[in-house]
Amino acid sequence: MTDHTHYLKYTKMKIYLVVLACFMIAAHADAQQPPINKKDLNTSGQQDVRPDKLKPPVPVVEKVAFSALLIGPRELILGVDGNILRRFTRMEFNEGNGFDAAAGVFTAPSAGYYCLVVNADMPNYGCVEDPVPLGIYVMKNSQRHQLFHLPVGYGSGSCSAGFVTYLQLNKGEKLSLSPLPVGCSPGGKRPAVSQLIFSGYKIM
Amino acid sequence: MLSIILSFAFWLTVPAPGNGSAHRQSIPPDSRPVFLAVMKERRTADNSIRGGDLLQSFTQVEKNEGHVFNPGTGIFTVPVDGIYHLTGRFTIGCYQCRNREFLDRPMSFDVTVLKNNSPTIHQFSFPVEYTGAVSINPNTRTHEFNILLQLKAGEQIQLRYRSKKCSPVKEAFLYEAHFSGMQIH
Repeated sequence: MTDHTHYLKYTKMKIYLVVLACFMIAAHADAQQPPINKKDLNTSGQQDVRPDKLKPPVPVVEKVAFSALLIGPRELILGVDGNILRRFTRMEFNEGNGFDAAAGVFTAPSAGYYCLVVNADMPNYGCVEDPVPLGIYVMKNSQRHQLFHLPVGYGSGSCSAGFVTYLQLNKGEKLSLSPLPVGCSPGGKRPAVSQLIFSGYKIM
Repeated sequence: MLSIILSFAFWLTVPAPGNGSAHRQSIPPDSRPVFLAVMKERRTADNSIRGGDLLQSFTQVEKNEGHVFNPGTGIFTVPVDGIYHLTGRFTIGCYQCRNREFLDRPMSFDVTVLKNNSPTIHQFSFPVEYTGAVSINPNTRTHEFNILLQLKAGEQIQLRYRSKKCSPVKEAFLYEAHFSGMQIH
């Protein structure tokens, strides 16, 4: 009799052990494979990603294009306006709102490759025997980045010159134009622009 | 199981049919209007008396996606509202004179961008150079402008050039012109 109860006790213990083992295996399996939430199911065949676990998408400004017009005559004097072409007369367009017409600064609304187009009209302030260029630096984050020497005519009348260039910009990087005016000697006319257009757009 | 693996391997080795040819023929629906036209003919630029000439009768059309450019009239008709990058390029002779008058008032080669037959703010005065009779260098110079324009569908853009000869012995010639444009946005 005692033996029998003892046997029964042991049988119960065995069942307990088996059940416990089952629970442990199930728990282990659970740990390996997270429980499927109905909310997360998708039909794309891709691995499940919970939408709430993704970072909120950062809006990228894809359409960027600007054209700022400076109507002169504007004398170009070294040191004025911090040597930057500022105080543009008006914006022709400013998609992406990257250009500040008063400051003459373009701030890239998004990272990418940009095309810059600059056109200058100048009263001919060069001399026949002393031709001078109008130097224009493209300033990137207040640093001299690229220099262009535009030819300046002589005599009366005016001349046009410009350049196209390409730059890679990160979001928030700034571009401006810094003139490097030189007059012809002696007693030549003062360097000036009659009209200047600073424009550009994001290529990709 | 084995059949699944085998069929998968087979699927990998056989390329999808008709992939290559379909790409070449179809034009992507989001393609942008682009044109490039060339005028390769010697023409007089001594036309200031009649207020200049329109750049017309292009001799070659390299590209004209969407048929936005008419090479006969030289008119680019804007197909959709947007911002456009236009380029004009002119190869001219060195017909400047070196006498008192033209040292004081040099002749320039002027180009005006017209929108719906009216001048825009985009007017260019390209310098005309002087070369002596003994010069062995090529007596032509190429000038170019680039502009960004915000345009509306239906607007018409064309170019007008104007110059003047400074001496009966120095003819003012335009040798070549390119006009191209594309939509940016």
